[in-house]
Amino acid sequence: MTKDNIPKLLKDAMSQNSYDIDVITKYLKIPWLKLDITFDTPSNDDIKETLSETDWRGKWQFPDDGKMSYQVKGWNGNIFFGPTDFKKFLDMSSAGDNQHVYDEDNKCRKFRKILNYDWCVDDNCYIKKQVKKILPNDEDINLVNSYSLPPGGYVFPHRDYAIDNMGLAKIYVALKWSKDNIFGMYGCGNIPINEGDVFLLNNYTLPHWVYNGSNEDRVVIDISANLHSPMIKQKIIDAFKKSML
Amino acid sequence: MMRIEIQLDCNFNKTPPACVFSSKQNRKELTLEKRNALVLDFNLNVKDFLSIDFINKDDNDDNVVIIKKIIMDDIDLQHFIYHGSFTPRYNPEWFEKQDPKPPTSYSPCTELRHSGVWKMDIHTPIWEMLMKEWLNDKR
Repeated sequence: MTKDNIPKLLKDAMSQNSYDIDVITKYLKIPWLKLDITFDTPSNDDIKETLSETDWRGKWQFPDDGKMSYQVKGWNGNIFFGPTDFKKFLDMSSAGDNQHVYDEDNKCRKFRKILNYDWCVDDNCYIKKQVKKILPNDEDINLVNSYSLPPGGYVFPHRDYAIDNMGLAKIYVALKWSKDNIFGMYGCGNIPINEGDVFLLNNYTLPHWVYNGSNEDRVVIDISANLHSPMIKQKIIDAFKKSML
Repeated sequence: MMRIEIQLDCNFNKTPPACVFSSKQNRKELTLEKRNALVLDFNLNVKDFLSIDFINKDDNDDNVVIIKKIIMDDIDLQHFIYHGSFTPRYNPEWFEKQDPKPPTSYSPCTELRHSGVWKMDIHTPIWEMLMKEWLNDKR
């Protein structure tokens, strides 16, 4: 079979088609991809470092704080990398209509090039060391935070909204995840998460919810990053190819 | 049979609002108080509706019905009550004086300031209706 008579468009498409990270993460609306990434097993002190006494919803000025909202129970978080002038960031991110529908990742992405962002922990921090292994350049990071959920804690079914057609966006590390934790995604069952897994999640397309039915705290690390950064990009392509087999 | 809880506030001095609550198979007329936590047990089809017909608007008293919250099958419909639509039956004399004319219906609308019917389409099961509302939300 000769390729001499093939029209140029078809010829180019066949010879040059590759993997486009934006097509995979934005256009396909895949609910999740499991990434081949491993974090070192955290010590109990490392886990303690992820927890915070400060109310997360209050810190981010969500419309109702954690104590008032019936839609969350026990859900909290702690920030490790993000905007250095948090007050200014909040002022800017809350300006305009409907800003409350955007999640933390979106807000941090939006102002990444305008405001100064940095780590708010020292170099020995477990989270910083682990994240640096997969994202060595801080310019590629928008936000690193933990989310914790005590036994019986939950977040109601909800959907997050993206500012720029995002789909797969959140790098989600199941740092402490006992059996009987649920992360449900409407129409797709539960995400098959085991402790130590690292997933790329799409929380912008489908309603989703979490519930901790175990007797231990559930702790995850959430990373908002530039998915075009070399290592992450390759991990996503590898995961996509594997999932399509 | 599905339990439907409706929280309504009413403004009035002399004429307490009267409303007819309906679905495809059910109908119940009630005279309201200033604060109301109503419980209705309705048979709902897979595709159904909930309507509130405000039947005794008193223009002199300016009575008003305000929908605060609807809980169906123990699930708070939250902001999805804003998907309901209100179709007023305008007082002809009042309507004649308006320029420009008011709309035929309002959505979102949770304050019934004229006689008329507020209606919201319902699909059962309720949890799945909410999931599909989020799924189709184009924000």
